[in-house]
Amino acid sequence: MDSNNVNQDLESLKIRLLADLDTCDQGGGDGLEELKVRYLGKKGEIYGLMRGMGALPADQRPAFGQMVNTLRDLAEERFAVLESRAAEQAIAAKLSASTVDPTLPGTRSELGHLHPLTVVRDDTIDFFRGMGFELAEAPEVDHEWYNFEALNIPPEHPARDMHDTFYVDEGVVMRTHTSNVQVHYLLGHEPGPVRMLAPGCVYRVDNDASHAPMFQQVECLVIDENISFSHLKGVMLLWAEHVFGKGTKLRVRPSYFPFTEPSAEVDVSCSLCGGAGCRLCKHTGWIEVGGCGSVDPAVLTQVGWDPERWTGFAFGFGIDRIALLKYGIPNIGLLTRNEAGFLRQF
Amino acid sequence: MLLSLSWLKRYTDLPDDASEISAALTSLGFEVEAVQVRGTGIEGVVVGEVRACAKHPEADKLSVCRVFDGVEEVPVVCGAPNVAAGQKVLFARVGAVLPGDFKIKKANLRGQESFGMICAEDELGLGESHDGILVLSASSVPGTTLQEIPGLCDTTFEISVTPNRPDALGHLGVARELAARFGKELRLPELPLAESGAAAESFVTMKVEDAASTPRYIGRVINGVKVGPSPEWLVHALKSIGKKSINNVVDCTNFALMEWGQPSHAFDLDTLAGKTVVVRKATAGESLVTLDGETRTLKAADFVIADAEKALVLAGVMGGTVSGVTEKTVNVFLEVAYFDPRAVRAQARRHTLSSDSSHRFERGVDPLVTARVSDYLAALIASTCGGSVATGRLEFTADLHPVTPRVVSLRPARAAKLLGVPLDAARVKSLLEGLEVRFVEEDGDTLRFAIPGFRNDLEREVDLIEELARRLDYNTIPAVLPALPLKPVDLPPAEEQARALRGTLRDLGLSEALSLRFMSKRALGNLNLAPEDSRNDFVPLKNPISEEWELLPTTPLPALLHALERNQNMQEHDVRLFEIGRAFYRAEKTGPRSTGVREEPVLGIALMGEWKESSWSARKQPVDFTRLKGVVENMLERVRVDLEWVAGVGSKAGFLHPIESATLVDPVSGDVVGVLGTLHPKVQAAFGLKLPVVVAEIYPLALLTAPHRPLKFQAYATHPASARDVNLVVGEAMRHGDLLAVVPKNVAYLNATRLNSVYRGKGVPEGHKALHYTFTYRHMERALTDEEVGTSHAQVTAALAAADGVVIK
Ligand SMILES: [Zn+2]
Repeated sequence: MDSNNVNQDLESLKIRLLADLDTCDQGGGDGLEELKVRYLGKKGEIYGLMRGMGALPADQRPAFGQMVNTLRDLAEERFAVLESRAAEQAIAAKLSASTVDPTLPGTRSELGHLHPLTVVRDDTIDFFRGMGFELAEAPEVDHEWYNFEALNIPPEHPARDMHDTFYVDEGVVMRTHTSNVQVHYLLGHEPGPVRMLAPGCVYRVDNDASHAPMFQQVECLVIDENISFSHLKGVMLLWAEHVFGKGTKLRVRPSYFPFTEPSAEVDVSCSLCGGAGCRLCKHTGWIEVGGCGSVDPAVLTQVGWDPERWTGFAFGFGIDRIALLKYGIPNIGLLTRNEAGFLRQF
Repeated sequence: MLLSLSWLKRYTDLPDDASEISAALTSLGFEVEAVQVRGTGIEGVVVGEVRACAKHPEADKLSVCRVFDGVEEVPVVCGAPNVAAGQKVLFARVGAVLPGDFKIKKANLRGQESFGMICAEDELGLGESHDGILVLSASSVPGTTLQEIPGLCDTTFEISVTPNRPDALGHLGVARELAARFGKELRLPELPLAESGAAAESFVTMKVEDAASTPRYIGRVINGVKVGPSPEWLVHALKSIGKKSINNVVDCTNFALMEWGQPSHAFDLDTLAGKTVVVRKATAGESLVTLDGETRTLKAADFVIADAEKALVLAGVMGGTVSGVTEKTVNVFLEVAYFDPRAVRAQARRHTLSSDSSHRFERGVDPLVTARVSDYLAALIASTCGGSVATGRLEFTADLHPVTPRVVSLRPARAAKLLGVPLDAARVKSLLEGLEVRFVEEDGDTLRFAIPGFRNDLEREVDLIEELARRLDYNTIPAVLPALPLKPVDLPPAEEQARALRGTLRDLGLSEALSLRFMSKRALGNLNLAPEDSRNDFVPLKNPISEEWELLPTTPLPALLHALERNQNMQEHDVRLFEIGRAFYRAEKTGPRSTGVREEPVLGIALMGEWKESSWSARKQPVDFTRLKGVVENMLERVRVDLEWVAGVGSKAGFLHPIESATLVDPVSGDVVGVLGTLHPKVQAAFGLKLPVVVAEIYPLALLTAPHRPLKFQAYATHPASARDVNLVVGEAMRHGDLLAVVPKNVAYLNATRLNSVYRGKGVPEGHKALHYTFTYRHMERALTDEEVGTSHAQVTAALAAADGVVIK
């Protein structure tokens, strides 16, 4: 075989290859696979040249082989470029073919909800627990001695008028406040420092827009050897700021609870109007949140603690009331109707 | 307690600004619930004189009057039935402004011109009465503006008075507090008493037989009174606090009541049988018609004021219809007494009757002021109603009745310690002085004070300490945090568990309910309970609010089912509720302070409707037993408790479907931890529920004591598992649990069994179902060979195939 012929074949193959690649490229990559098989396949034309090399004189073979390899490298390089371009185009086509409407609503799970009073209750517990208060409880149906007498409210005392009491039996009541926990707790402990917290349900014969026959209170009790009324104010202020925000002011008014003395009602500055006066605070700038006072010595005496040595304070507030204020719930009755429209908001 | 500002001003000087007084009252412990300023927003209303009054020619109900307003006489059309010539009235001139920015204009009413309006009380915001126009006293001067008429435009404060402060149930007591707060003098009312003629005891015999309930009783006799209308100042004073004028004598007693807080009673002396007044116990069955018109059958425990023949007054509570002062009365027996607070309270409760008098006696009137008020009131009656006060008092004082002030000790150092403010003896004395608590003597660190009679509540050192705090103003006491040791506090286990249960159920898509802890017998009856069911051991309330709330709940389910029904009626059908409620059961009384009630928390779950994802594309499935079971399983998984599941509930829960139900049992103690299932169709219907409902009742205390799996790391397999599927056809009676029980426990490498589907229908014979299971085999440390898997799986299939009525496909 004539080496010239072989060289010419190689040259024309190269020209054809480049022309075909151009055509294919212009055609958007159509027929790229077949083209690659035709030129670079095991039975392709470039390997065909290799096979034809045997016809060359031995001394010309290396040089010719070199040229064929160069052509093969060129072809592989050009095919790779076209292939990657084609792959890009294919992905682009696939992406643009999507029919998914991204403005459709997400596929969600339906969340459950905790009751708002649980949220407030747990928050209260955690707040006081963080300050070393321990949780305590007492029966909701209790002997009136714990609910009244031990709290310095004897039978036939006008202070009982402040409690519209449910009776279940002679001398057995639905507790009217969580203060009965104080009595059970103190009776169950040796005299010593106390930091106690008691959330729970209490009951009054009452039912209107702002009173429910069952509601929840939290009772706090601190006893130690040097506890004063000013400590009561300090702890209450801390709590008020936690619940109603930094800068909340406290107003303490004299009141009367037979089991505390001095006794007080606690108002906080209205979180809605900041004290300027609005509907929420009935234009007073203040919102009543609870009752409190220094532990009356009579209570300590009743449970066998020495009131000369031990002094303390107690305060109680309504969880319901805090929740109503916090979430702007207009009617206490909504809390126990268990309507889906209400529950799913929390 | 309603206070009139002009009334308070009789006794002390007060700021002009009502809001300042209001703030002072509140900070003193008398919470102001309402302030009413009468006569504000009114202009151009003056005293008018009706000089002529004739029927309107065209309208029966209208009158045409000539009214002189101090300047001119104008025609005025008036619709009030009580208008008459000669009256002095409140007249709104043309151009006047009435409350609500209502302007008076010239008008023409059926052809008659009208230049102004004759006003009724309510039109001026002076009261509620719209009975007719307000007729003023004849002495009123035409042209005087409304604001100049004494007693009409007043400010009132509605204060709430705590039970320990009966002294604030009279204007004088409140004035005393305000005087101390504002640093002003208190002017006690004084009237010169002129006694004349024979001694009081020559007109009447007075006996107190029941000294225990009537420790102090004083009578005075006023002869020759002229009963009639009260003078204007007295009418206005009473009216300003919403009291009606009755007659001059009764008004005087009511005035003293609202001034001193001391009730009194005026008898028509000439109607007293035997001219005798006896304070005695009632005889059982005796009766008395009280002023409210009720006939009261008296009980032996009652004590009454009687004459020689009959009971006249339910002592301390309410007078009777006979023996009171009327227009015919000439001679008056005036009673001023101190009745025992407990006795009056018991009496008032026995007759479910409360009055201004009983309210004060119950709380304790001033035991030291009885004679003084008696003298004052006698003088007031004589000066107001004419007549002469007979010489001397008729007096009774029980042996134990205090005649001098109580003395109470106080250590200033103790006060400073309890309040957290510096206080020395001098400061303490001066603070208490303002409340008429007078320093008596000093004994080392202890001061002794004489307590005025009107402050019965001050008995102990701590009571005086509270007074010091009040005088300082609670708001001046600094807020200080106590220095207490740091102390970590764990939640009690029950609380910890409750949080875990709530949190898990919330995560599972349930919403927490909160129900009033009351129940009705009807709802309980609707639960289809077996007679011996402990849910029947309910505790009834003695004084329930309603029949719906007559019992304490023994289960949270009725409340949850009512909630589902309420939601259903609001077109909310897919509702999933849980609640940790409380159950109350009757129990044995174990001691003198035992309640005979056992209470414990109970978790209730109630699911209704479809368990839907809140997405437009998600699948919806009606809730059923397996869904509920899954919820409970998830919950137990979270709290790491393994319980024994027993199919069915037997008679333990009649409200559940007999087959679609299960009982949860503590595998160690055997205690029932809960029941769950589909609501029995009868119960579903009884609660008015349209869709099937599944419910669970779980006892958190039993759950707490059940064995908990400790949370410890477990090695887990990382090599792939080999799965083998099995298709079975079995009769309907064969349950999943029965099939699982057939599979030997000791098959090597068997790691998990999963039920993929239950199919009934084409290709499966009637009364049968096809079950598709996947059994998974795995080794902890390596991949299993096909042979190993095959050997194990063959054991499984062989066991299944050997079971009765199982066909492996
Ligand atoms: Zn406000």
